[in-house]
Amino acid sequence: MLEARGVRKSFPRAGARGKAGPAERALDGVSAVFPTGELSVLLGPSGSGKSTLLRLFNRLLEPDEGVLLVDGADARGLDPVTLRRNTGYAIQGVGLFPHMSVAENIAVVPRLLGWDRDRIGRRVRELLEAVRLPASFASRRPRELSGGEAQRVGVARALAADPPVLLMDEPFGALDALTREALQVEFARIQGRLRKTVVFVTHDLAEAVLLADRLFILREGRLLRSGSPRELLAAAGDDFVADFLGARFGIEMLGRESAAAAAEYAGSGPAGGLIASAADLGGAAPLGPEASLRDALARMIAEGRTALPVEGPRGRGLLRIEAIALAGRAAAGAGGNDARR
Amino acid sequence: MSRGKEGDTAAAEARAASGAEATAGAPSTAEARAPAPDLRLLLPAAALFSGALAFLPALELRPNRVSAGAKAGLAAAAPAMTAALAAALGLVLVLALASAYAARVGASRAGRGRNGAARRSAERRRAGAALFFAAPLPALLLAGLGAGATSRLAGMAQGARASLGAGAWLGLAAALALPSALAPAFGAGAPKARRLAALTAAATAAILAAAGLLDDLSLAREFVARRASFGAEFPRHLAYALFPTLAAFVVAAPLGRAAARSRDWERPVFLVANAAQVIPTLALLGFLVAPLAALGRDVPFFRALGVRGVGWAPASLALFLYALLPVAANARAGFRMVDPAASDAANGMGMGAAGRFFRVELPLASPALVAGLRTALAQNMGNAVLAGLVGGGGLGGILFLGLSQAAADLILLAALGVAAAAYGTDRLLAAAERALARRTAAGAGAPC
Repeated sequence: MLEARGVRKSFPRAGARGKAGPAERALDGVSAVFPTGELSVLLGPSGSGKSTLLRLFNRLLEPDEGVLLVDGADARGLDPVTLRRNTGYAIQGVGLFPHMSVAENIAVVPRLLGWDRDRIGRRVRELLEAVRLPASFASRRPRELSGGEAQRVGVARALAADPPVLLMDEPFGALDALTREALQVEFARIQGRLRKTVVFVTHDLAEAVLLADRLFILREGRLLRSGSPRELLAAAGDDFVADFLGARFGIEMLGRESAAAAAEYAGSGPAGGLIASAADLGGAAPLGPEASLRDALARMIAEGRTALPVEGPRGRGLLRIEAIALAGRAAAGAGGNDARR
Repeated sequence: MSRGKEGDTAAAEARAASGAEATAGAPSTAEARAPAPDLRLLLPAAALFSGALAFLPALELRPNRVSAGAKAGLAAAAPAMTAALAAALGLVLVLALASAYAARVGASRAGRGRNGAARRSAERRRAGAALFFAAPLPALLLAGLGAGATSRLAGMAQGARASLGAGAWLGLAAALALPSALAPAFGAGAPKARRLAALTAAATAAILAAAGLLDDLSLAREFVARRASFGAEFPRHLAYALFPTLAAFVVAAPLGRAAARSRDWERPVFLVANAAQVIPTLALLGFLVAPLAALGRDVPFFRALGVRGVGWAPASLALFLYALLPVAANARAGFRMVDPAASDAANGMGMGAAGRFFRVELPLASPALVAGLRTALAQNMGNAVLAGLVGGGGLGGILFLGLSQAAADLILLAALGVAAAAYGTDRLLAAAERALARRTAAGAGAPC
């Protein structure tokens, strides 16, 4: 568990003629808890202090005031080098070392930790597989990689020594939309398996909603609101948060809701009797068990339908457009119907 | 396209005219087309070669080493060698023109794709034969000149000299340009062909010199007369270039890194480095004479070292100062090129300060560091001549002696030594730089 208590941090602003100007406040009394095994997303406009907060946790920055706790221990009491070697770190620029091969890049922290060669070799192969890169990439140079491939290596490098904590600063920010989405889904899958304690900085609402177990909305160095995406959808609780999340928030939420879970099945709903007869809906192809409500809505719009058959774990069901509209409410607090895992 | 090619041709001619670097250089843009000899360089070079030797005096025969003398053409002085040269040049022309014609015809037939591979290998053989005759041409010309000198000096007094005339110089320059004109026919192998031709010319000339065929040229006589002093001054010249430059590297490379990171360092470092660079050479030496003389006179430590207003001390100090700017500027550029994301990642992953420097920053900056060292060293190989001005010796001493005696061949001898030293070190360090850039894969465009 990571925790910030009353953290303040200012940076000297460069004034005229190279003299130090008035200090710029990046964090203004932030307290937050990032639970073990959860993916916490810091979301906010640029200048809101989210990267600053992240970089306090591996002591790349030191707070002016307040305390940072790593598993209950004051970060100031920990050796920064040891702390960093036990904390995965992935950044927007990736920062692969151009003079090292992919394998050497991934092996940096294990080597710093003094692992033996066989163990490092095994680990590199494991990680390349985990981020879905062919084993032959091990000997490539970073300049031979596409942006998406480089960031896959960046994620593998952050995971190399199997650190319990992962700090990620807009890791997918520089990628094109398609590659970004593929990596987000990939990373959600990896995180579903590894359950690291992740702090993830982004200003991309869709990414935040897709990945977050918990959202932390920051603005001008203050934490405005935190909670699960559903909690925030149900009650923004703040004009800025409502504005910032905006109308798109509900649409983005559909991306993580399972279509199969929102469908009606024979004998279970008020329309139970209709299901059997409506299930073929004039020959419409059924949605698969993996489909999200966003996929379902896209199909409905494309095909001009208000309902679609669903192939769910409980058999053939029927998904109506009303169920999509109500999904956010109905599901609030229900949990468990998350399309990601 | 055609403009670029003309530029390349002009550059090749300029290199040939300088005589020092006829064969190495930028790859020809002609490679983009069907590989063929570059006729726009070949024909003028061949014309220059034959014209210079036919109409200009190749040898100057003087009763002693400083007086003016009678001029002699190559054909008259060495008829047999002249015939051989003409035959070789004719063969080169015929083969090259045939190769160029075949390439042009082949290009128009390429659409039908008939026997492409066989035709290309035939063209390559023709171009290879042309290069085989062209490469030793400069050495052959030297042999002719040597033979001419021997036959003409036979009837003259003991101290008589045979110097190279205008025709000989232009002919040599044109002959050195020929392989550059033929090399494009080898496509991707052009740089290798040029290198091979240069090696052939140098090796043939060395064999001729060793066999004594060039002994009667005035240049060789000067060398023989000054062999002992040349043997002592050449290493001294190298030392003048090498040690102050290395000292400057040790001082300026860390300063360049500091300048890359903070403006507080950048300003004073480059103030000094730039100042040293812009002060004219002679003025800088002049500035150093008085303070160094005072130091050597009044401070026992410096007196014990042998520091005086003239001699090695001002020369070394001036060369040290000249090397500061290229080293510091390249170091600054090299360390600035290190990707900030890579430094941040290294930091965030728990590399210590030493690990970051030695495992990330230094490897990434090293091609630029070597580029700086190379620039400084090549520059100082030339600048070391100045040591001769303040009584420090080196090849400059020989050169200025030649100037004071108006002995053109002595000047030439010293200048050839300086040029060879500068060119050799530059090539050596360029190879090191390429090897490093390949390894780090980041230093593609290290500025100088």
